[in-house]
This record gives sequence, C-alpha cells and structure tokens, in this order.
Amino acid sequence: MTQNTEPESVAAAPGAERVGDMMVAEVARRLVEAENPKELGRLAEVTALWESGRAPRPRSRRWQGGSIGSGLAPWVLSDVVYPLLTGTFAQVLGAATFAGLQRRRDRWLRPRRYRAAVAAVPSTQLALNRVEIAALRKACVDHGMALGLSRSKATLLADALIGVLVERLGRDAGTSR
Amino acid sequence: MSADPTVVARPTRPASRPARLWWVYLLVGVALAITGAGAAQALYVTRDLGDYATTEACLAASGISLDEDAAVNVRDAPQFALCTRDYNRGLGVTTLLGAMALPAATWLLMLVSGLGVRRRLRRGGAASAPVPLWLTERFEDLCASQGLTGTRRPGLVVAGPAAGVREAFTTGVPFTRPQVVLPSSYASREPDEFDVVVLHELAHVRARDLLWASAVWWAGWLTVPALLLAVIFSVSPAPVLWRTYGGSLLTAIVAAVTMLALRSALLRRREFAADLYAVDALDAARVSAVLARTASWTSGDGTGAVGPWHRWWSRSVRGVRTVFATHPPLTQRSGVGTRAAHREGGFAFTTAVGIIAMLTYQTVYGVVSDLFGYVVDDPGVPSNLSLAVGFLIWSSVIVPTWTRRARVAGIGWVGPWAGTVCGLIIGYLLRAPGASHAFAIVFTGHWPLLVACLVVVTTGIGVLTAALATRLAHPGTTAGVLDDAPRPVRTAAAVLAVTVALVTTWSTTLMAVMAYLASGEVAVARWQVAALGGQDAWWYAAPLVLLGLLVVTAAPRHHATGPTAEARRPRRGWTTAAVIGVSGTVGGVAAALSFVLRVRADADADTTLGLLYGMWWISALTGGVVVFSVLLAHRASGVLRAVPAAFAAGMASTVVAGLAQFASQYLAHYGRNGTNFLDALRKPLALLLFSAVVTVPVLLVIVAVTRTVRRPGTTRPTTLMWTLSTGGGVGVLALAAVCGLLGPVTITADDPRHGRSWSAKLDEHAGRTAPVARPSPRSDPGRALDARGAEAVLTGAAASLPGAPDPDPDEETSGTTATPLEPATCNDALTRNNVADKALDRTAELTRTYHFPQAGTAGGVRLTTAVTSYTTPLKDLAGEVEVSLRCDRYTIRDEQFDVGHRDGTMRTLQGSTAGYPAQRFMITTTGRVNAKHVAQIVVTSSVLVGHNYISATVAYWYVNNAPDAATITFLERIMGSALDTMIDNLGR
Repeated sequence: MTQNTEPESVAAAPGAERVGDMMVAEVARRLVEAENPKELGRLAEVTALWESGRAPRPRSRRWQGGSIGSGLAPWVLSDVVYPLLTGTFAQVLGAATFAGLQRRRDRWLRPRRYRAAVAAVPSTQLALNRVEIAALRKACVDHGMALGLSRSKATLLADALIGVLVERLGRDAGTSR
Repeated sequence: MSADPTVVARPTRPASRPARLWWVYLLVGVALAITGAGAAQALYVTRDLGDYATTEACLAASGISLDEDAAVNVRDAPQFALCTRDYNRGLGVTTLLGAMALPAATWLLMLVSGLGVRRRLRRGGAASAPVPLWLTERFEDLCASQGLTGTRRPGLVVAGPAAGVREAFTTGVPFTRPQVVLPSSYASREPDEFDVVVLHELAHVRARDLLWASAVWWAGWLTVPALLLAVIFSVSPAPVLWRTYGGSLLTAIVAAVTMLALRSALLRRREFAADLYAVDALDAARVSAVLARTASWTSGDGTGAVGPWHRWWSRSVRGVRTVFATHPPLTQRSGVGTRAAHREGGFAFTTAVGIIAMLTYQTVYGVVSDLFGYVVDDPGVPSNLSLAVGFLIWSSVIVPTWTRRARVAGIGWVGPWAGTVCGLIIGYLLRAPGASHAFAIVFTGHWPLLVACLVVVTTGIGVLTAALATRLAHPGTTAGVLDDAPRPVRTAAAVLAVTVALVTTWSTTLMAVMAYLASGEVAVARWQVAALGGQDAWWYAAPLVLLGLLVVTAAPRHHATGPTAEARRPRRGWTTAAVIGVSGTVGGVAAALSFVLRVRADADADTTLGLLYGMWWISALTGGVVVFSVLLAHRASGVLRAVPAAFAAGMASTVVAGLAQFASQYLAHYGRNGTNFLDALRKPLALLLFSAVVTVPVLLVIVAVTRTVRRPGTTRPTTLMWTLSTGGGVGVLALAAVCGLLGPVTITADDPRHGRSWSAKLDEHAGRTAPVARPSPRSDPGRALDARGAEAVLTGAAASLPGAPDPDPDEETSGTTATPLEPATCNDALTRNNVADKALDRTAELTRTYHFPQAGTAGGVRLTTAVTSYTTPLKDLAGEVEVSLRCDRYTIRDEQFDVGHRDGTMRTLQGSTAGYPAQRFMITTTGRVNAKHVAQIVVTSSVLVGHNYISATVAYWYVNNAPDAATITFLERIMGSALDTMIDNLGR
C-alpha cells in the first residue's frame, strides 16, 4: 500500500524523509478507537457513506421553513472525523484536497447514472513525513474549530491524531529500515 | 449501546405548557395580508389593470387634476367619485385578492416545506432506518408523561448518518401529526441526553411553535419577491418604476430583514421556554448537565477560522449571525435553572406591533374606501372604522404582553413607551410596500407639528396601557388567587378601553392638526378638539372606556390581603367616593352657574355655543382634578397601577358633575330636554377622556416629584381633608375657567365663531356657497329669442380667450358624430335624442366656435358657445341624461388608432347655475396610436333658461398625459365664464 507521491526535493531535505503511509479510513478508525470505541459501529456506516461519495456535508445549512431545531447536537466523533481529517490533510499535503472533493457528494456536477456507477472508491492513501506531521497538529485544531468544536476539544482531537500517526508511521518507519 | 430506560425515572408533567403565541399568528397573518395587498396594488397599477387612461380622461373632463391638493378633489367630490368609481372598485377587489393570496401562498409553502423535510429524510434513509426498541419505548413513555397520547402524540424518526441530521428537530405538515427527528447517534448516548432533547422538542410540539415559526419564515422571505413579481412585468420603463417603487422596495427589504430578525429573537426565547419545560419535567441539574456537556465540545459559531482573511470574515459575520441565530448560546442555556424571567414587550416588539397595526389601518382603509367609494357622505366612517381595526390589533397584542411584562419585578416602561410612540407614528407615516395610498401626504411640509402632537397622544396611550397591564398583573389579590393567565374578561375590557381611547384621541388630534394647518388659527384647532373633530360617534367613546376601566379595576375585596391590599382598604374606598361626590357636585353646580349667569336671551348662536362648551369643559376639568387627586393619594403605593382607578374616579366625578349641572340648569329653567341631559354627560366625559390621556404622563411626573419632596413622617391626610382639598381645587379651576384663564387650553368665547368662519371658508372652497347675486335682469331671460337676440346672447362669451380669436367659420356642434357607436343601444339613444331635438320648433339657433392653442393639448382647444331658443320651453335636460346612461361605455370606429377604434365614456352631472337647471355632459374617448396613449375630451356645460338652452363646450386632445392642473383650471374658467356671460346676456 506504500505509494510515494512527494517531490524529490522534500524527500531529500534533512528531517523530511518519508516515515510511512496509511489510508485515511484507517486513521479515522484508529482515532475513533482511541477516543470513543463505542462509535466504531457507527463509523463503519459513515465510512461506507464516505467511500461511496454520499456523505452529507459537514455543518450544512438547511432551510428552516419546515422545522424547528433543538440547537443540541450530541458529540459524535464519527460524524466529524472525515471532514476533519480531509481538511487537515488537504491543508498540509495539498494532494488530499482532490480526494476530499472526490468524496463529496456533488449532485449538480455528476450525472445520476455516474453517481450510481461509482458507488464506492477506496479511501485515499496518505504519505507523510516528519515535517508534515508537525504541521498537522495546528491544522487539525484550526479545522476542528471551523467545524464548530471548541478549542479544547479540537486540541484534544489533534493530540489524539498526532498520537495515532506517530505510533503507526513510527512503526512503519521501523519496519522499513 | 443498549441503555436500559427503566433506570431513568419517568419525568413529571409540568403544570403548564409553554404559552402559545397566538398573537404571532395574528401579526404574521396581518403582515402577509398587508404585503399581499401592497403587491396586488402595485400589480394593478403597473399592469394598468384598471384602465387609468380612461379615469384620467374622465377626471380631466370633470375639471379635476390629480396634481391639485386633496381639498380640490374633495371640492369636486361627486365628479371625482364618478370618474374613479370603476378604477377604485377594481383596485379594491385586487387589493382584497392580494391580501388573501399571499397568506394562502404562505400556507402552501409551509405545506411544501414540511413535505420537503420529510422527503429529505426519506432520501437519507431515515424513514427506513431501524430504530432501537428502547428509543421508541422511551419516546412513547416521555410523550405519555406529557399527556401526548393517541393522535396528539408526535411521530419519532431516527435519522442515520446518511440523512445528515446532526441535531434533533421537529417538523410537520399542517393538519398532520408533527414528527420529532433525532440523529441515530442518540442510541449510543446517555439516556439523560435523550430525555432532555425529546422533552425540549415536546415543549415545542405542545406550544405549537412549528407553525408560527414556519409562517414567519416564509413571510420574511416572501415580502420582497412578492413586490418584485408584481412590478417586474410592468409596462412602464425601469427609471419610472424605480422612482415609483424604489422606496417600496427598500421598505420591503427592511421589513423582510426585520421580520426574520424578530423571528429569530422570538425563537431564542422559545428555546429558553422549551428548556424550562424540560427542567420542570425532569430537574434543573439534569438538564443543565446535558446542556453544559454539549456546550463543552462546541464553539457554536466556527471561531476556528483558518487564515487571517477567514478569521476577519468570521468575526465580522459573527455579529450578524447573533441577530439571526435561532438558538441562544449553549453557555447561556446551560444556566437554565437559575435564569431570571424574560422581559416581554420591549421597544423592538412594541415598535413592530405599532407599525403592523398602522399599516393594517392603511390597508383596510384602502379596501373600504376603494370598494365603497373614495368619498362617501361621511368621509370619517371608513377612516374611523379602519383606525378601530388597526388599534384593536395593537391593543389585543400589547395588553396581554405587557401584562406578562408587568409581572416581572422591577420592570421598566421607558422602552415600551418609546416603542408605542415610534411604532404608531412610523406606521402612520410609512406606506406599505407597493401600496397606492399615501395617507400622511396631506401633512407634507408640516411633519414636526404632526409628529409632536402624535407623540403627546401616543405617550399618553402608552402610559394608560402600561397602567392597565400593571393593574391586570397585580389586581390587588394575593399571589395564586388569580390564574397564571390574565382573566379573559378583564383583559378584553382593558383592550376595549385602550382601543377606544386610542381611536378617539388619535382621530381628534389629526382633525385638530389638519384644521390648524388649513386655517392657521389655534382657535380653530381648539374648537376641533372641543367638538372631537366633528365625529359624533366619539361622544359615546368615553362610556365604553369607563366600562372597561371599571371591569379592570374591580377586584374581589375579600381577597385583599398582603402588601397590595393596602391600596384597597375600605377607608380609601369611602374617601374616593366622598371625593367623587363632593367634587362632582361642586363642579356641576359651578358649570351650570357659569352658563346660567352669563347667557343672554339676545346672544347669537356662537356666543351661546361658547358658553355651553365652557360649561362642559368645567365638568370635564372636575374629573381631571379628581384624577390628579387619586394619583396623589396613591403616590406611595404604586402610582402607575393607580392610573385606571384614577381615570375611573375622574369619569365618575364628571358624571356626577354632569348630573349636578343638568339639575341646576333644570332648576333655573334652562335646557329641560333629553338632549341637554345627554350632552351634560357625554360631552364632558369625552373632553375628560381626551385631556386625561394627553396629560397623564405630565401628571405622573408631577406626582413623582411630590413623592420625592414629601417629608418623611408626614401624616396621611384624612378623608375630610382629601374631600375638601379636591372640591376646593375644582372650585378654583372652575373660577379660572370662567375668568378665561384656561381659555388657551380649553375654549374661548370666540372659538365657535372662528370654527364657523373656517367651515364657511371650506364651504366656499368646496363650491357649496350660495349662488352669486346677479343684477336684476332688465328683461325676461327665459323669453323666446329671435336671431338678433341669439346673436346678442353669444356676444362677448369668448372674451376671456387668449388673443381674442375670431369665430371659426366652420361651425360644428360637439358631442355628435356621424360615425356609428357601439353598442347599438347607445347609437340608437344618440340618434333618438338628435332627432327629437331637431323635431322641436325653435325661434333661433346659433353656434360660435373658437380655436386657440394651449400647452398640454394636441392641436389646441376648441370652445363652442351655443344658444337655442325653442318655441315651447323645455321642461328638463333628460335627453342627454338618457344618452349618457346608454353610452356609459361605448366604442367608436377610428382607423387611425392601433386597434381600429376608440373607447369612450359619457357621464352626466346635473345641478344648477344661477338658479337655473344646469348640466355637465362629459365625453371621453381614449385609445392608442403607435402605442402612445391618445385621449379626446369634450365637456359641455349647459343651462336651461325658460325657452332658451345655452351651452359652452370645450374640446381638446392630448397625448400620454392629461394637461396639468393650471391648464385644466384655465379651461374650466373660460367655459364657466362663457356660460356666465351668456346667462347675463339673456337678461339684457
């Protein structure tokens, strides 16, 4: 599953050697597993939606003409983990931007037949180095708050994400050496 | 998670559900009707559905220009009504349809939006998603605990991740059970979270918040599109449209934004109410814990913006979002258990209600006057009826809301009073988006005076309303004796009192201001106030207000305990009775003496009238003194709450004064009839009502000042002291009135004369003056003329024409044509009339036609003077009347016009000139040539003098717009001058 997509100049820079790679879905699963293992079942549903491009947009504004809301949204990591990871990786890696857009259900641009035909696309594969991992934390906090999380909650998630990545990528790097 | 619902205690059912906001339905319904009516009027005008060209031509033929001021239109009321009848009826019907269509459209959109939400949920797989059993059971249990069983129980929809539902909400379609939609993530949450959120939603269900929230939402979004749709397909060019409806568009935008902002503010309060409901059903700690837990992970507004630009944008937008946020911040909601009660009916709310009420008045007035005649016998009827509707809406909403506000300890009233002033005045000056009627236009250039007067009136009404609300909220009984909601009868009585007081004082003030502006004399304005603007119905307003006040102030005496009972102890009741009786008697006798001792048998009617009104003013002032006295007596125990009782006591003393005055006059052999008895009661009461309303703010300030300067330890005055001091005050005031010291604010002896003089000027302006005295004729004007006599009659008839043109040798009689008219009945009538006329024997017949150029016309104007002397005197002018009846609307072939014909109208107005039967016969034909509007006007003024029929005819064409007011007036003058000259020549 290893795939090197980074420029040669970055890979050659000191301290920027590739330490490993993994799937976005795997990062999401490990994050939920670390934070709230009870949500793993729900995460599987969300992952399926995400990979089939039918995941709803995060914090989408709905018309208010026919409903009256409670203003109380329960804390469910599974619902925000993909928008959070996509935004974070997109900012740091750039390449994932396309992946995020690819997974977004775009009812206006894609013909209905095409939407049905490409029911599932495998999760995007990420390749990270140590410099990028360091930048991920700040990006994760920013995107978490943009998604409506409090700063403390967003920081907690960012730390958990870094923990997951360091553990996994460190293990990959150890095996590759 | 397989949570066990049995471990959570069943919630209790709160004693009361959140109050249903019936007034929102009223206001939003009215706002939609106003918007729809305005848009419909705009559509009617821009699409020219009423054939404005024909109306304008008819008005021009009647000598009326819309450029003139309203007084001129009133002067020409019959002609104006005749010309505008069809146009206005069409406008009224269209307005009515628009007022019904937009609420209906909103209803449909509510239906569609509810169905849309359901469809969205179905597409997200919510309907087919499996629902955990414990969730269903727990939901049913919660519904049952709140009394929502059977058909009243809402449905439960659990939405999976694909539906994109992040938070719980309630949705519904009118006439169906609402649905509570929950994200499926609640299945893995603590049961407490589920309970709180479900009870929160059930509170919305029980309060029926969904419907009004949906209605206001659509009302806000429809305001601008409705107007745009109405005007966008206009036949007029864009600059003209913008000039005409630009202001309306801006008003519509402001109204829409305001509506959505108020909706959000109201929803935020309803969220608090729903949270409180959950607190009542569970307990504050559990609800607060859930809310705090939710608040702990969310920032609520996406403050973690990425990048400086995004951060700046987020900060800028945050303020706007706060205004339109439908939910309060979770940090505020988490303190739900300790939060103080909300203050209702503040400045923004009261202002919005005032504006809607006054726009309602304008819309209702427009519909009533359009449908039943712009000018009726009594123009005050549609105006006052509409005012009553508007103010009834205002008081129906404000009184209950302010009553709830008054229950909050330490509440202030400055905001609501300012809202009363701003809302009612702005609403009066504003024009509903798209509306054709501009009401305050008669005050153009005099806004400061009008606004100042209305500020005084509306402040007084605001104070009276707040006082009634305070009285309803604190009726003088212990807490818990009254129901939580105000008693309907007492509330209705308060609404009645406020509505009647507002209509009376508002209408009287407007009449007084208009009279002052028209006459320039304060005396005339004062006379208008004394006569209540000449509106006879208002003489009966005060008894209605008194009835309302008595019902509001009546509280069960046996419940009078506690701090507020001090004000109702028996001694104060007897004191008030004594004050009323003694003051009333003193005032009544003084009033009668002021008349009896000064009236002279040989005095003219105006002098006697002045004395009568002076007498009634003394009786009214008696009540004013008692009002002040009662307020003073309550200065230590809540003066605002005492205002209704003070007003009632003042009116009661005025009634006593009226009785005493009538009895005294009776003994002195004056006015021994029922009318005098009735006047002795109703006129002072009406004057007291007006004066008390406009002065009550000042009285409260004075009482407040006396409270601050009162020395501590001062003993309370005894009953005797109160009675004597109040009676003495009445006596002093009566003396001052007799001596004329109060004349500047009540009435002077000359006021009736000034008023009558002004009325005479109005009559003169309206053309209702007596016929001008003419010199005695040297010979019989009705004699049969020979050819020489006919020549003499026409001599000098065209002397007022510019340039003294010679008669046109090609003489032609107007109003007749060789081209057949459609329908045939019209043509037959015209032919019959011509044949019948030709068949009459005549001794002379002569016609002179003059052409002269005139700006604003196409091809100049033709004046035709004619005289026909018959062998046998004509009885009447019935022939032309019959023609005009048959040819009310007709068409005439004309190939030069785009459609090959012109549309015509014929109208006849009969009257008299110089004491002879006279008639005005008006013909208009309109059509389009090369898409340009072209009209022909032919007006014949004729007089029947014995054997002689004389007439002056003015005929001209114009393109697009009728000539201006100066031209129309000039043409009227030369036609009138020609006729007058011919009449005078007949007598030579």
